[in-house]
Amino acid sequence: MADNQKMWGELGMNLEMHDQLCAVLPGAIGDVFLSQENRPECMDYFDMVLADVHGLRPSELVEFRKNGGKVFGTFCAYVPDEVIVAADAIATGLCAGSQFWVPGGERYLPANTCPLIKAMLGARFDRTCPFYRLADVYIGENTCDGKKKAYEILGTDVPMHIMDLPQMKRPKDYLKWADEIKDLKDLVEKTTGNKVTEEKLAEAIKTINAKRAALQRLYDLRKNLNVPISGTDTLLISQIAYYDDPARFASMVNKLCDELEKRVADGVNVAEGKKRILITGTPMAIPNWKMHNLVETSGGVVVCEETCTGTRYFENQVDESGKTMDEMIQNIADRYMGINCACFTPNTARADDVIRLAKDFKADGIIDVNLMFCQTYDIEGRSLEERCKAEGIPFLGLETDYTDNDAQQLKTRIGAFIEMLG
Amino acid sequence: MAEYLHYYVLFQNHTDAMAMYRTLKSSGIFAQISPTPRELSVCCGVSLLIRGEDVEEIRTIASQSSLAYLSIEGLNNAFDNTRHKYG
Repeated sequence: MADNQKMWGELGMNLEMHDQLCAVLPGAIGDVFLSQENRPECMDYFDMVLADVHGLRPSELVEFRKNGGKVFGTFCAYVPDEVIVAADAIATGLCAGSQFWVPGGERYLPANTCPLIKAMLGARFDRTCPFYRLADVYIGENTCDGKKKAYEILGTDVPMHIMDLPQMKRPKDYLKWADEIKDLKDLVEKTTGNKVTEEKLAEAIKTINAKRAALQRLYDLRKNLNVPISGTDTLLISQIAYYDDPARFASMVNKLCDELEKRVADGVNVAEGKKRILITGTPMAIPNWKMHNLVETSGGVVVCEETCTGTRYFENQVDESGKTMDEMIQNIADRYMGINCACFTPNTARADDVIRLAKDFKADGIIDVNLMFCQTYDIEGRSLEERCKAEGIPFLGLETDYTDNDAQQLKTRIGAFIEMLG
Repeated sequence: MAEYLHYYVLFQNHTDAMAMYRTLKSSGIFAQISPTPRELSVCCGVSLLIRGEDVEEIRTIASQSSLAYLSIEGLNNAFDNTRHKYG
């Protein structure tokens, strides 16, 4: 394991500070994941990725870059990996899910900024995440005001490209997003020196569609009344989706699904007697497992996430029928514009999604979880609650951050909500 | 019988860990891929969580199959899913 230290040193990381993160993560993983009973065998791949989260994949990226490859860091489900993959480059999510990185971000941002954004800046400027060191270019997007301004600060330290995501869904907005994807293609070609050909893009669309199909298959299995896998384990898989090799990831998820299908046939249920909960709200970047851990130790089981680390990431495919570059880019734009984020107005389609998913996954109740200071999701919570109540689906709205301080208070509220479900 | 709550096989690298993991699995011996606890190593990395009663058998298998590992260590680190400390 000394290899990791050497690699982190060569990446210019702050080893002493990073060591503090290494000290606490194994304990959290033991508590949240290894304490679970009757986990699927095929979680072993995801356990391996997690066990050496700052070693395994980063070492692959190091080798890739040694051979001239370029790595693009992304923060959002709207950034189309297809274009990056088509240029023989690697897209990696830049995780920002730990309180560990928040104080570092607060040196640059107002304290009343959402923890995810603060953690982004802390991870970069404290030099305590190898993925932030390995991305040659960061791809941002204006999905909220906080991120938009934070990217200006990140841009003082690393090459940044911002995609201007429309905030409405009129026909002209779909065309506008296609234009933004063309700009991304130009940037990726210039950075890598590789041409994104029609053949390459068609192939990349299939690769990323296959990854999305695997995740859809996994989620479909959670619709069974016998729940074959915990929500906590599924969340980990969704988090890993952002930075693993897409083809390998799809293969591993499909292997897991084979096992889960057998579990369903055998009547295996990891959540006997527990209430089925759909979680909606803001993304849960690795290692943010707080809400799932709280729900699943309070008499509930999370059966679906309508979040960016859930259905928003994989629902709907890119139409593979496009032949020309323009057709393919428009098809990509259309798929990504189908994601329903609170940064859009109006965004009633998100409530439609939540209701549809709650019915499909036979949810007993919905928990809307938003990161503190995420204004768009916070405001949308009210109308979402009204829609859910009109449909007769029990609803609980929660706001939290990455600290552990409110865990017991949240647990009391979640426990009471689940008890109320009967 | 077991002196510690958990036993870990520690490795020099991930490749050795996965080789051991596959062998133990095919031998029907419990093994769980785990991050290496801080108390046992100064770095993040993969280790194998095993059962105390299997330690001697695992040493024998490793020797017979020429599987490389650094050591097998015990640790009293209870897993508690209600601790709610997430790092």
